[in-house]
Amino acid sequence: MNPEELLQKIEKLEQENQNKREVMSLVAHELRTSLTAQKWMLSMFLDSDFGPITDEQKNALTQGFSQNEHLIEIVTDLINFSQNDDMHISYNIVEANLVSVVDAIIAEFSSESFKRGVPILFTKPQKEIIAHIDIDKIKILLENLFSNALKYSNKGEGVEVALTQDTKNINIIVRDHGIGIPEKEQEQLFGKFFRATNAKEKESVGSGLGLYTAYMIAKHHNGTLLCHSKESIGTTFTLVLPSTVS
Amino acid sequence: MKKLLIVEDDTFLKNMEVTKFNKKGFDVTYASSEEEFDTELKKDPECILLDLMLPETDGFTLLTKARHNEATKNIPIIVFSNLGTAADIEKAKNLGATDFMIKAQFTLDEIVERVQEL
Repeated sequence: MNPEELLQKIEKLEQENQNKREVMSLVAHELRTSLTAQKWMLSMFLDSDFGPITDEQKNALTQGFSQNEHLIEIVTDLINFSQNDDMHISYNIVEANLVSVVDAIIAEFSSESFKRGVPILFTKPQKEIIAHIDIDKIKILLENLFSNALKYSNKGEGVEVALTQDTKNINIIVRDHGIGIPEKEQEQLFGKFFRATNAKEKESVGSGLGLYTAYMIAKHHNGTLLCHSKESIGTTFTLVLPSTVS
Repeated sequence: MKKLLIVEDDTFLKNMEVTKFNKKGFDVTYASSEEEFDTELKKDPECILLDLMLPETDGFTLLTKARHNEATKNIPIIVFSNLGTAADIEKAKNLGATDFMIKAQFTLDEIVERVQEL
């Protein structure tokens, strides 16, 4: 293949990828709209906006609301997957204060943390840590880690978050004391569609794409995502980013 | 009482938004097309909740219009959509959106809370 043909082939593939992302975006919009309608309607019933409800009705509506939330989460995972499963997607790398990024994620999960009775404790570094990252992508990655930590913890168990830096690396650590990941399944952890057996028992619905996407985002930043886990003891994820990312 | 303009073409979603915001004491008007938006913009809303995918136009066009209108150039405008790629969010922010919220991620009570904060 001569250079011109190669260039044409690359352009064609890029166009196909762009088309795929556009289709996925439209499908996601339609799915989300339908799920939004159900979410709002159920929450309005639960808030007694359409009149008082009985305890029995409240239980059924709460279950329906929870199932709908799972589906919204899966659609979000699919969107994130479709937008990050391509190492050639350009990243908007900017200088960012990681304490602010982590603070924003903690604020986002504060009501979920309260609802589940799983407090989040953030040990802030002595001085600010600046990294060169795509803020939106790192947020997607951290949202996955926080969401899992809260989902797979039991009530009363805390999630600890820490941020450290040495000459080579920046580490963002998210540690839970939840159900952990069975040792023999840990090798598949960052594979597409993987869900641990005990995770399926605790939360029946999930896409198995969240950690795969998170891993791809870490790789895209020339970093990595490490996991240390023991079943019934808990799991620690460490996002390792180079201290200077170009 | 805060004058809120809701731009939404999905009737079912719009009805729920209007019901909720009315109950919470807002003075709510709505538009589901560019023509209706132009009419409502003349009534000087104090805050706009703006959908992106609309028939024959899009929220970005209406956002630009509102930001070029003397009475609404500085009011809070929340883009409220089920789109939400990084490119959509960046475009909305560059055109002057106060915030970008993905509908499916919020209950109506949470939206009301956000609008009350503004």
